[in-house]
Parts: sequence; C-alpha cells; structure tokens
Amino acid sequence: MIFINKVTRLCRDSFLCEKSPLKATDYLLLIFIGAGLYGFSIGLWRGERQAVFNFIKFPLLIMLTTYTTSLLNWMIAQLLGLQLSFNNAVKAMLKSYAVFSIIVGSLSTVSLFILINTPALIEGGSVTPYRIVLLLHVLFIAGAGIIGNIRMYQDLPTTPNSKALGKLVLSCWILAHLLTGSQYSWNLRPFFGSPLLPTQFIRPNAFEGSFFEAVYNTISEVTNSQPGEHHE
Amino acid sequence: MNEEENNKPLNKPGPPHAAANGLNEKPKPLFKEPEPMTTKKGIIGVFETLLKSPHQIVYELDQGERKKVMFSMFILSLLSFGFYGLIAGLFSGGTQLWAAPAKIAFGSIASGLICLPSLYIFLCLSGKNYSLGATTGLLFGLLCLTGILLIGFAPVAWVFSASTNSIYLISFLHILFWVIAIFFGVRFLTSGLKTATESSSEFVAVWVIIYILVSFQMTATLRPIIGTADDFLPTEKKFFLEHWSSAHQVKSQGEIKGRKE
Repeated sequence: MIFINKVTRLCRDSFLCEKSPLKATDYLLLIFIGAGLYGFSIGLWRGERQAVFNFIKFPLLIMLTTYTTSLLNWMIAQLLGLQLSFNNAVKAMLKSYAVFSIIVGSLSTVSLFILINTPALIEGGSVTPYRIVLLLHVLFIAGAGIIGNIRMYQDLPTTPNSKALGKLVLSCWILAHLLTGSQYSWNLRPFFGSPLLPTQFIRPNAFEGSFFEAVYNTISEVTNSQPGEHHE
Repeated sequence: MNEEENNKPLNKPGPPHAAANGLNEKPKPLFKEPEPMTTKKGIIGVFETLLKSPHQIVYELDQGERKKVMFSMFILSLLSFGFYGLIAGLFSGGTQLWAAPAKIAFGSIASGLICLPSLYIFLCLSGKNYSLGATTGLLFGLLCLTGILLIGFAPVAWVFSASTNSIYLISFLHILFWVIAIFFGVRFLTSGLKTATESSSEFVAVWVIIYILVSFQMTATLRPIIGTADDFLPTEKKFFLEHWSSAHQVKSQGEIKGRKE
C-alpha cells in the first residue's frame, strides 16, 4: 500500500507541478522496483537467471547514468544561467527516471504477455518475432523516456521568459544521459541475452569496445551484407 | 493541459485546485452535483444504467456502492462475453460450443487485467484523482459495455455464421463487431474521465492502443476461437498479424493441415 501511495503521489504531483514531498530515497525505491520489474519481464525471455540479473541491472543502469552525469549536468545548468542547487538537479533527474521506471514497470504485465506469445529464438529459425519484440520494447522505453523528460523539464525552475533556457539545459542533460547511458548499457550487456551465448551477469569482455563502435560495426556489416552477430 | 500549465516549475505553486489534491485528503467527488444510480445495483440495473446513464455508474464507482456495482459488472461481463462466444462457437459447433464462450470470456477479462497496471499509472500521470479500486471499476465498466454491445451484435453474427463457410469472412466480422463495441466501451471510460477532472487524456489514448493490441494478440493466444483444431490451445506461438495472415490464406475451413483456425 505504501508503495502504491508513493507511485500515486509521484505521478499526480508531477502532473500538478507541485513540490513533491518524496525524498531522493523514495525515487530510488521507485526506480528499483519499476525498472527492476520491467527488466525481469524482458530477461524471462532468455530464462529465469537472466530475469534475476535484469532485475538488478536495469535499475543499476539508471542509477549509474544519473550519478555519473549529475556533476556535469549541474555544471551545465550553472554555466547556462539556470539557478539550480546540486541536490535539486539530482532530484529532478531521479524524479524523471522514477516516472520512467513506473511507466515501464506498469507495462511489465504487457511485456510478460508478449513474452508468452513469442516463439523461442532457435539457431536457423526466423528472427522476425525477435525483431518485433525488440521493436515493442524500444517503443515502450522511448515513450516512457519522453514522458520522463517532459516531467524533468517541468521541474526546472524556469520562468515564462526563460523557457528557451530550460529547453537548452534539458537538451544538454538528455545528450549527456544518452552518451553515458548507451555506454553503460554496452558494459552491462546482456539484457535480452542471445540464446547462442551463455547467460551471464556481464560478458567477460564487458569493458572492451564501446556502444558506438558496435553500432558502427553493425551498420558496416549490414551495408556489406555480411552475416552479423546476435545483438544483445 | 495547456502549454502554460506544462511549463510551471515544481517549486512554484500549482493551480488553485491542485493544492487540495494531496493523498491524505479525501478525494474530490467526480461530479459537482452527485448523481447516484436510480435503479437497483443488480445485473439488470447495471445493464440499463450502462446504456442509458453511464455517468451514474462512474459516480457509484467513485463514491457510491463500488463493490456491489463492480461485482454486477463482472458477472454481466462474463455472461455477455459467454453469450457472444456461444454464437461465435455455432460456426464450428462441437467442442467450440463451450470452448469459444470460455475463451472469449476469459480472454476479454484477461486482456483488461493485463492492462490494468498501466491504466492506473496513465490515469495518475494525467492527474486523474482515481484510486486503484475506482480504476478497476472503470475497466470493468469498459469490459461490461463492450460485452453488452456484443450481445446486440450477436443476432447479426449468428445470421452470418449460419450462412457462410468462409472462416475469413466470419473472423473479419467478429473483429469488426468487437472493434465497434470497444469503441463505445472506451467512450464510457473517457467520458467518465472528462466528468472527473478537466485534465488531459492523451495518456488514456496511448493506453487504449496498448489495450487493443493486447486484445488482438489474445485472439492468437487462445486460438482457435472460431474454427476448430486438435488441441484446445495452440502449441505453436504466433503474433496476431501472423495468425490473421494465415487465416486469410485459409479462406475456408480446414485448408491448413486439417485445421480451421
């Protein structure tokens, strides 16, 4: 009941633009449960172990991204002229991710339903269901991310005359999050887990290469029509 | 929510009505002038009220006898989906006479329950002042109205079931009837929300898309609903588009490996 009250308060307060009575620890709890449940539902596709790993890794990815970029984001806000304390900057980011986590967490039942209906990916089998599932998860995550960022923009202390400044700060923050978050997602892979590779918390070569090199290699493989690796 | 409201910072005071929306305070009533149900809250009363005065149902869900109304709506949903399932099962006969009602009733309610957590969160994000119980009640209202309308479509569906052998045509008609019925069900949901507050309903629109997709997928998960098969439930997993596509290729009963899905 306490958890549902916190969820309700977070969602409604952010809509009503009121100062939220929730603490940073509340946001962390909401992130851990919401993102954890969603990660669990994604990981079940590969197996129970992957699901448990994802339950830990999804919230970990969010927290690492938030705290790694917090100092940079606060400095950017100061440099651009937005008066925001370090604590409030971190709280705004955590709140945004808490909204994101609660949305994807509420979609974890839908995610489980998709999982029940997805044929297993076997060697030599069709990859179309795998792509459909990936696409749906991308849509869920992107949609929740957009809503989370809108909520973060509402939290920035802008006036009607400084809306452009607020948008600029938000854009910089999103860029920093994308840059850092994508690399962390590479380091913490696998999330979906290829059926052709063993289930592991992180790959032994987790800190070799980067997300952007992998994207570049994938594009090169596609354009050269060479068979690629399974993407995780 | 207009742009000006959107841009109000967290640390600034919100709109006047917002201050009174704390969770510790009693939620605001959905209507300025309370309008309870004028009929009995049994199955027949709920049936009539849903069609004639759905806003009275919303009132009861918020501050009236919620449990009683919800129970009646649940039973009514089961009965109406079951009845429509029976008509759908007449196309194939045999075991489908009990399997189709069971699958349609179970599938419709399961689709709603799968989407219940996201409905609650999306309503909260829209600023709606609903409890989880009231949200569940609204969802049952949507399901119940959909089922009631399907009863209205049942005679038409029966005429086609008795006349055609084309599984493609009959499947298309059932989906068409279901989409029309769900349109009115969603209208009940959104009209209830508009009465509740003046806040935006974009999130509800997103939720409706998710709900419709889940319901479509349920037709593939519980197949066969219209035709027949050796197994009660499918052994092969399929997405609904793939399933519908294969039904399109069949066009008439039993052309794929003896199945009539």
